[in-house]
Amino acid sequence: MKLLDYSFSTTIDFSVPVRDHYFVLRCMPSPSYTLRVLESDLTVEPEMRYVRQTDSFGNLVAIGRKSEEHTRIGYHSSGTVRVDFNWAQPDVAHPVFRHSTPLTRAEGALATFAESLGTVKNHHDVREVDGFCLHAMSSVHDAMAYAPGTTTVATTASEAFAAGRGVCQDFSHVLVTALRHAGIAARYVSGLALGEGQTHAWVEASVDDFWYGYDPTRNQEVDETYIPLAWGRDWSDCPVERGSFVGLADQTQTVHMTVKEHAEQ
Amino acid sequence: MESLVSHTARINDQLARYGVKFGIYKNGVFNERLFPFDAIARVIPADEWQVLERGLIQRVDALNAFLKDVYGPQEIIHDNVVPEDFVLSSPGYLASCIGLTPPKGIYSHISGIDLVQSRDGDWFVLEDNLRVPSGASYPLIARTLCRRCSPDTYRTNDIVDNRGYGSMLREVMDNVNCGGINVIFTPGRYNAAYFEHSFLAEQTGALLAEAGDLYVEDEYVYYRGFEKDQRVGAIYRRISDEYLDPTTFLPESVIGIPNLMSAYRAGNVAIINAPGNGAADDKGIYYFVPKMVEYYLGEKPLLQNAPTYLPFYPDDLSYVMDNFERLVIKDTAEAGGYGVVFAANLDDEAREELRQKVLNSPRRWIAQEIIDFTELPVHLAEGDVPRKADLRAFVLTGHETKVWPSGLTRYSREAGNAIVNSSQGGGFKDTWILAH
Repeated sequence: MKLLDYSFSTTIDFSVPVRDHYFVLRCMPSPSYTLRVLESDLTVEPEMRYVRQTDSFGNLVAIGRKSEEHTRIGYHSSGTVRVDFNWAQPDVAHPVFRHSTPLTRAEGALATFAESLGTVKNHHDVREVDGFCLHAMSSVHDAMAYAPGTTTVATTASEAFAAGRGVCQDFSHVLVTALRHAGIAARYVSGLALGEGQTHAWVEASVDDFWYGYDPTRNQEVDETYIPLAWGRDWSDCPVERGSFVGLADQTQTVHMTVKEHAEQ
Repeated sequence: MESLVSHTARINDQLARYGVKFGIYKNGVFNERLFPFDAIARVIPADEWQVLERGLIQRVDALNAFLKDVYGPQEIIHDNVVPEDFVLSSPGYLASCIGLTPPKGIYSHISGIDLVQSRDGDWFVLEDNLRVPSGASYPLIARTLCRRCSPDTYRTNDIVDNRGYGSMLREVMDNVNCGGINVIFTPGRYNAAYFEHSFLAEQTGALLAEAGDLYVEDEYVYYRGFEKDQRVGAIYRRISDEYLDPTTFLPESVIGIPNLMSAYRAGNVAIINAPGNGAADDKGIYYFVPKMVEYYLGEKPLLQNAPTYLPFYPDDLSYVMDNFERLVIKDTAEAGGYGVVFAANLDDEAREELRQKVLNSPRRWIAQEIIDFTELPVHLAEGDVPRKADLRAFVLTGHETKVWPSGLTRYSREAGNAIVNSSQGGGFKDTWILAH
């Protein structure tokens, strides 16, 4: 069991004023069997109205609008969560997580790579499936170099794999693609992790109806120090912020985040 | 009918004056074209129509049940009637609609079912259009003009009145309205069916709205009025899913309503037709529609599909490979008459190329037997000529599912051509349903 304090802020500065700004935020931890939200706070600056909803993937979203002109918008999300893997319960994966998406199609070198990982004989054999996922995770980690700035949010798994580099998002897209290729339901997770200065991404695979987490960027199994913010088929289902506004402005985004173990009191 | 036909030129002039146009994009250029009207109506006798009507209602009810199922429990997949792959890898299947039930559980409120009649008199469904089927306004306005030119024709021929379309459509909107006004949401005048959008707004008493007229606040949709803003309870949208909401679907859409999906998810607005319907009118899913009728309704399908093969199934693939040059090959990734190829019309090289494509990605293609469908007479100055024609029937689902007693009959411009879609340059006719 881990008790974690998190704090996450994003500020977007616009070069010229914008208006009619609509946003959808996925920056609050969504409760699950293994994660309980003890405290959660979201503030948006300048002050504006928003509502909370849950999307089709079970993610907590904040949805709002600022119609007046503004040159900056800031979101600050903080709180405390308790993560305990002993609370895990069966959770049948929606079949949508078995199918490829435009960002996660096995093409070219990635198709060959996915093929080379072999197959799973018994999808109900926890050790076999987990072993397959771990092997796939390490293979992705070994095949790719961590190189910030070489890819964008539009880079597909196959493109990143062919180039042999990328960031956590690309590593996770590649692993998701490889696992689905082997018939394993896998989902992309965006979230926060202890020791990271930015939002992180990793992968969860459905292993005999339990979600197991794998972090191909760090080459390790996900432990209780990871806080999921959003699940989806790929990145496009889980962006921390999606917005639409009127105004031809350049945007500069600043992100600050910390996760630390909650001090005993 | 002769007196009516003698007015063909005048009616077409009137249609042009009313602005009954059809816009098409060709090579990136937008052109507005007149949609030629032929005054010789297609006539469907009462007994034949009754069978069609029952079959259409049955088909649309099954399609609605299918949509509710695939965005919900997916029983038809678990029961191995439809393969998972055909549903979940369809580009029309929207993950953001999973688990989301539209008001009153209705997905397809306005369905455009395309049919053809073989020379033996049998009707076949060629395509279901459950997203944004257009075309009802053309026969409606043409009938009005025809009635003015030749009122006797409609007094003596026992033709079922089709003027109720506007009130049928209004009933469909009112039925799912979640509180507030009805609007027809158009992408604007550079859309192929803009004429129709404004016409239907007039017919139903709904407001015609464009992007910017509507906004979302606190999970409600509002129409920006001159004096005060009004809440919107139902949106008959004439724009496709991907442009509907830039904070959920395509971020670059400037013709959508940002955050619309949040109001929809909260159950505060009906979207007509529901987003995600592309999962049921995919050219590949078409194959399974008769099976859906049996599965959901426990009835024998009254309407048949054109004989169709799915290269996805090995047996069908070998049949398709053996009979390639006799078949119509359709690309499931394309719509509106695009991506439909008569293999017989290709030269050897092109045919071989297509055959390889089908072999390489069988899931993407369907193959159909060519139906030798009826030709209808089309009036030209030099005399009547036969042209291939289809029928788009409009099926409306409100409290119950009803078929509009009329339809859009489209004919091809050239002799022998079997593609009649208006985006491919054809004309249209009125469709008369006889009362007895």
